[in-house]
Amino acid sequence: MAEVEELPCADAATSGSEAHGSGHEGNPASATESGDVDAEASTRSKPPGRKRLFITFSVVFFFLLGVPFWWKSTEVYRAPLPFSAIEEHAAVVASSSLALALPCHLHIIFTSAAPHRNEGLMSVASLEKVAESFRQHAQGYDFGIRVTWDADDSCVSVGSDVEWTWPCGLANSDLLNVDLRNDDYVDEFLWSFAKDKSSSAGGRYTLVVVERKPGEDAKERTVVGKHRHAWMTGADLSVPDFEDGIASRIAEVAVIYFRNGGRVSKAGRAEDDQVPSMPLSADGEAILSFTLLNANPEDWIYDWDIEEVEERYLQPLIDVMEPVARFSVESQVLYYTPKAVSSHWNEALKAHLVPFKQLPFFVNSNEWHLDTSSAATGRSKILHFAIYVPAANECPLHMQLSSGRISLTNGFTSPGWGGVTVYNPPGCGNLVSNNSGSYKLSSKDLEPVVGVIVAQIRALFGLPSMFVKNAKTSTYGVPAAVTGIADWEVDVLLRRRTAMDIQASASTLLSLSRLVSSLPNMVIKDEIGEHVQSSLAEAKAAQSQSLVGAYHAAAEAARKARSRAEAAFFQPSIMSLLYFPAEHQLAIYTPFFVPVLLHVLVALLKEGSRYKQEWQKYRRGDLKQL
Amino acid sequence: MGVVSWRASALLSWLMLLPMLFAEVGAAPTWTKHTNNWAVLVCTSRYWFNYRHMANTLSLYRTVKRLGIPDDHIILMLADDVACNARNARPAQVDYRGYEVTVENFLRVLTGRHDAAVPRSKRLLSDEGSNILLYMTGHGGDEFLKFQDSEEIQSRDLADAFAQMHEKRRYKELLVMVDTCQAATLHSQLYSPGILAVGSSLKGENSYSHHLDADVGVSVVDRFTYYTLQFFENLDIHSNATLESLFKSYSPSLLMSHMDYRADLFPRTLDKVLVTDFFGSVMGIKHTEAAYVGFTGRYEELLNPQKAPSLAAVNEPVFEAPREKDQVLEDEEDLNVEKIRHRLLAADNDLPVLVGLLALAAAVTVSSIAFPGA
Repeated sequence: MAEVEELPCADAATSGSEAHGSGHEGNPASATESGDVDAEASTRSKPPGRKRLFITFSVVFFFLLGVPFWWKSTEVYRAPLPFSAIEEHAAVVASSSLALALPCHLHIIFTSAAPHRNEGLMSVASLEKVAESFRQHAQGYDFGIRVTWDADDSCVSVGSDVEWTWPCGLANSDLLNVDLRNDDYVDEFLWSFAKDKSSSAGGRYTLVVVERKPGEDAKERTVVGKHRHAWMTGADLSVPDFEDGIASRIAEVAVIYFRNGGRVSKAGRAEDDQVPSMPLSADGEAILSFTLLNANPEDWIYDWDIEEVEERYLQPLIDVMEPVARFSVESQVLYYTPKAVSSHWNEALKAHLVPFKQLPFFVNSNEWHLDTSSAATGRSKILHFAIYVPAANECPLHMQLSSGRISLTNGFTSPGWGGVTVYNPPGCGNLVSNNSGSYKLSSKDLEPVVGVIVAQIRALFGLPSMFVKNAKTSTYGVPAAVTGIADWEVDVLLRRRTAMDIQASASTLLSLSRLVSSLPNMVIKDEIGEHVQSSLAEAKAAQSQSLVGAYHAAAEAARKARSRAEAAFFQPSIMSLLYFPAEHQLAIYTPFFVPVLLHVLVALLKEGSRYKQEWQKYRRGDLKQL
Repeated sequence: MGVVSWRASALLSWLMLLPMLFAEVGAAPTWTKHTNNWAVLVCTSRYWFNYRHMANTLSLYRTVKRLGIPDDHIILMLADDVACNARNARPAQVDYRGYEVTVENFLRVLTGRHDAAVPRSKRLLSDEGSNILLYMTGHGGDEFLKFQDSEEIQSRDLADAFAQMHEKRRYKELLVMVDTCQAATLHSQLYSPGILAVGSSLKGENSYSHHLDADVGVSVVDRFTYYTLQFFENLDIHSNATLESLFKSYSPSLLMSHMDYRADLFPRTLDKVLVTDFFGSVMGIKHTEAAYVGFTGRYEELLNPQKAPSLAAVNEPVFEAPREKDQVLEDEEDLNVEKIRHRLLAADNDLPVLVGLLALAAAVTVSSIAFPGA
């Protein structure tokens, strides 16, 4: 080292002071050459060494090196979420609900009873006029349309050519010989005609127009079957420009029934875009919980053959609703369950009446322990169906509507909760209550109650309790006697549920991404990332399937999309207890770092200023020598 | 760290605009009635000298039950277990008791993020039509509420939890009542719509207890809660009393503090809100017009009636041991193997463990005798 050589008498001092960053090196330097401290204090002949500066700085550098390690180690693990994909998806879903709508196709078949009418009645131009006119009358709803004239030996068709449409030959079949007023028979006949040769899948509807026989009165009558077809009889195809009239009536049937499930929406398409929610859990399941309530077992005790009821009446409904919602059934019998309101005796009707205003308080939540499901997990949705058997002193019990008339069903529903109906033991007005008999209700006895329950299930899911017939336009429906829900009604529910699920999944994912962005300290496990990715993939699959028209596949994909999105959002590991204000962070880190860093930084500053001074001395020394 | 970067804040502000796309098409701001009621009653302090907090919560529980909210719609969190004492003639159904009342559990109840195994009675199963009453009592201070003497919840965390509830549409309207010292500060950070927040005292004020019971030896109720309960004493489910009349009934001289409420996030005016909207329970009713005519079910007689579909298909973490037991009973052939396997998998493992230990001890002894010094 230059300084050491020049200052033989300061060897011990400098070698001893090498390791320390103190400033007493200045003294030997000033004692060089001339030995006069004052004169040499402001100059030096050699540039100051950088060793001490280097050492001091290396300590600080060590701390600086540690900063990225500290940053990385205190980083919370956040699985990468595809924020942009989520936002894009949400925007797509929100902007165009057309993207979610499962398509509907309608196939109109004109046929005639008169055997000599083969070709010529309905030309291609005529069929096209019908198609065009239908599109105009369809109020903006999107229907794929195909119109066919089915004559004795040939068919003429216009419109989209898809393989599912009904085959030719309706005119040759027995259709025109059967009694067209027997709705059930016609329904079964048409179904058996079609089902072997075409696939009756979701969204594909057929309407058969049968020309009226000559001499028959021209009263149009439309009947909607319980599968996916309807028929119109008594149509007059001989008047000029009949196409428009027929098309408008067909469009009415198609829109009101096939598309909207019996609901007339005045606002047209816009109202339909508001998707009502269905009482289902996030996984698309629901538990139907049936309870038989004995108000006063001292009067009579009722038990029921619920297993047979479930097997005979409910299972077909559950099976047909499988693509929409997965149901499971539970039942129980409860005793000593009085209702929470009082009824008054009406002499004229010879019945105890509960006014409609009191119905909200009918369910006695304290005594009716309805929610005792052992199989329901935390995320299940339970729909309660309570069948109330009144005590002897309030029997027969009826519900009186606000208009004053008696309810025919003695039942009501509460949206999202379930339904209640009253079963009056037969002849209970005459029975004396001093014998407490024990009875078991067979499925035959419960048949009227089950009809009410089916109507209540339909109401809970947004369908009218029964087919909404229109006497003005003579539109009637064939009730689905076995299942309780017609196939085209299942389609309506499927469409609604698919749209609801996709919207719910998009909004859930958006909420999740908002939440995650606003809490930068929150740990995001891999699981959440996986759920989000699979939810987005399923939503895309649902959209592509719905474009194709695969109802079941689209509905299943939408269900999965929503289920995964909810699983991601409700992951128990996301906790919002993560608000760390700056004061807290400061309070945590200050005791760790400040005492040590303070010394190091002060040392660096002192060393730096000393170095600067020495350098200036050297400068002056240099100038002096020059 | 605690600072949101500019990029994140830009993203956040853009994301805030997206909900506009979800606004109902052509929705007029008409008010629809709620469909169900929930109540979450929380007492956050334990020990005998905080008896009054538990008494507050329990008496409000009784009131709310009397006015019609069913037990399965009430979540009762008590930090100390007075209600389940064997001497209590009318025990309450306490959902969270003792050390389960923590900030984490409380926030889990609000946001709905539970472990899959948590039972339904411990969950807030509300939906977008629910009116929720949230009542909290205990010791509090400036922008915090103390839980169990060991942790606290800050007003910001509470506001974030409400925001998450709003995101997931877990409430229609929310009434938050807090009876602690400086209770109104807990509401200062709220920002989600549909919330009405009431506090028993302002910042810098204490909330006082009402009276002392000589037998019990401690104060038995707080003033704010006492006057609230007094208001409800003469009401029943059909009452038309509004929240405005409730708030007017509090007098600062009797409370010895100033009751404060925050209604800027609440859509309705207080003179139109019935107290039974939050403290009672009314079901929305739709009459069933007609039965489904023509419904006959299956025609054919069933020869072999099947049981109802198995409910075990619900995905749930199922413990394996009981199923193994059933298999053991049915399977006669490899009974011994199954038995041993069942024993090993069963919760009660004492005998095999004992056998194992003895075998180990024997082996050690044998080996030390056979190979001494090894």
